Amino acid sequence: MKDTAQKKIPFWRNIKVVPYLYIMPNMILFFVFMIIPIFMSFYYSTVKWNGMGTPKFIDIQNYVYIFHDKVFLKSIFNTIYYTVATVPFLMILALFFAVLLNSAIPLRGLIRSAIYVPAVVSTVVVGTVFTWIFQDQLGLINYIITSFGGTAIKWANDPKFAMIMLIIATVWQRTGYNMVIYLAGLQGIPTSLMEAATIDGANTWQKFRYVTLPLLKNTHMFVMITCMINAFRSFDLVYTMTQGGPLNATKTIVMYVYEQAFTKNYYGRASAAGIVLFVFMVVLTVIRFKIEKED
Amino acid sequence: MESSGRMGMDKRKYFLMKTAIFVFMLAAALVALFPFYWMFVTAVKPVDEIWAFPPKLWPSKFIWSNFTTALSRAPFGTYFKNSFIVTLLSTTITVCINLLAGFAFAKYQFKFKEFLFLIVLSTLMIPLQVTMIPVFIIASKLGIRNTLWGVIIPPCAEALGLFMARQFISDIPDDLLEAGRIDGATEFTIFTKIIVPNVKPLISVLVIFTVMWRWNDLQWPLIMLSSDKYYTVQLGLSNLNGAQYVNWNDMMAASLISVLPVIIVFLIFQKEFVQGVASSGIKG
Repeated sequence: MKDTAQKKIPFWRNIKVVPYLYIMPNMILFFVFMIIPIFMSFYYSTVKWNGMGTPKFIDIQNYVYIFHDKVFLKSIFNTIYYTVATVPFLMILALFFAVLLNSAIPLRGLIRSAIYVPAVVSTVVVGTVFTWIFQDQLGLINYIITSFGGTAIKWANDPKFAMIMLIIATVWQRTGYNMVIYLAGLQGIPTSLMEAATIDGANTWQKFRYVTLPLLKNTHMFVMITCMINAFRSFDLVYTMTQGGPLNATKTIVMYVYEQAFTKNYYGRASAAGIVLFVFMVVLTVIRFKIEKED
Repeated sequence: MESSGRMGMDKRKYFLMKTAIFVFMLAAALVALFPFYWMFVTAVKPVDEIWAFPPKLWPSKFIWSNFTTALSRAPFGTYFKNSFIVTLLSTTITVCINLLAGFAFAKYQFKFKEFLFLIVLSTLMIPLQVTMIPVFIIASKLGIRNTLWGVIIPPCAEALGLFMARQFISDIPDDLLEAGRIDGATEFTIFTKIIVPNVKPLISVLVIFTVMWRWNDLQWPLIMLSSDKYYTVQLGLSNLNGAQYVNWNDMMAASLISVLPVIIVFLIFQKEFVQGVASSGIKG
């Protein structure tokens, strides 16, 4: 390219050195705060340590402990429960709204924005507002329930209902985000296909069932897997609304890790639970990349 | 075969269906907006109406000073200042280093390029809980734990931003860079004079998403900060929400003030938002 000039210029302008300089700030931070910590976590998961003194190597005892810990097993169950309960709602509602908004109705842009807006708000604020709406004595939801003759529910203080409250808040917050992804997917469907189906005499439902739904296969897969990943990572809402309580009813894996680490100072156990979470995430991520490769 | 009467029926049916869809979606939009309304009403209510049951859907009078009271009484003023500093600095750093690295990954050949990029990408989904303890220890060793720098610096190298930057910069034709080199531009001038002006949409998407993420983030402040004076809005709100007695006036006023910036950003950059989400949905 410019071989004559190459020798005279200082090394930091050398085209062989330049890319390393460009990636350096990013890579340093990335290695110090991501890659090295992942390896350290594997190491910590094999030691007994509370942050003070020297870590003591105890091979797989932390794993043995957490898999005998009822609270950890419950946290796996709770995470799966939360995931299985939120993902279908998020997908079906988002698809439904997207299909309806894909038709020419008045105020379409405004309605789309209104449904999307909860997704830009911080989860902490969502948690705070829903705590207030679901409050035992003064909350709006209990007012509605009692005015229809029902009995008030102690949402955040009732192990049976705390998770349902979190699920409702999640669906409220995340539907709009998935709806926008579905809208993008719908825009990718060629209008000629719809016209062809109309000429063949298909009604609205048949067009949806046999044209729209199958053509959105990639979008379904993408939305499903991102919703699952987000459900597994979901921390802010649980932390803000219930802190994992009452009686561990909303303790998810991320909450368990946080509690073991920073409330109880069991760094080893927390790391072991973190590694279990890591394995879940790796599986979900591999599935995700597989799906994307198929596109 | 189709009679005109059938056509008329179809038109009426079509109109009815459109109306039904409209009414339904309007209701959905109102449900989506209702918590914001409730935040607002609770924030401006007189205190005694907070404790009224049944709840008052419309306050008897608007106490606008509740907003200033919330900011002065609780330590919310400090929280907002901290959030502002964190968001401003971390967005600047994140966008700069991701653009630079994205440029390198898109337009240069170097050893371990594919390998490094694959590693970055594979960590995209790892939750903070996996690395939380080591990160906490490393930050302590570096002396940035319990400082705003501890919240700002560690998450700056961020996989999604780097990925987006590489994708976008790849689309810039190589001829443009070659032309610059022939004109005698240094590699860094190529970055500042050719790349940056050509990726303005990318920069706005990166800025918007980083601002939103950092302003709304709870987890990094939570593990990094132990002194109240460094708390961000989200951390402060979250901790107060768990308190025994919650002052809902203050909480809702502070919540509302804290969502105003993001909603304003969203309203201004709606198009970029929708594109960003849609493209992340398509490209991954």
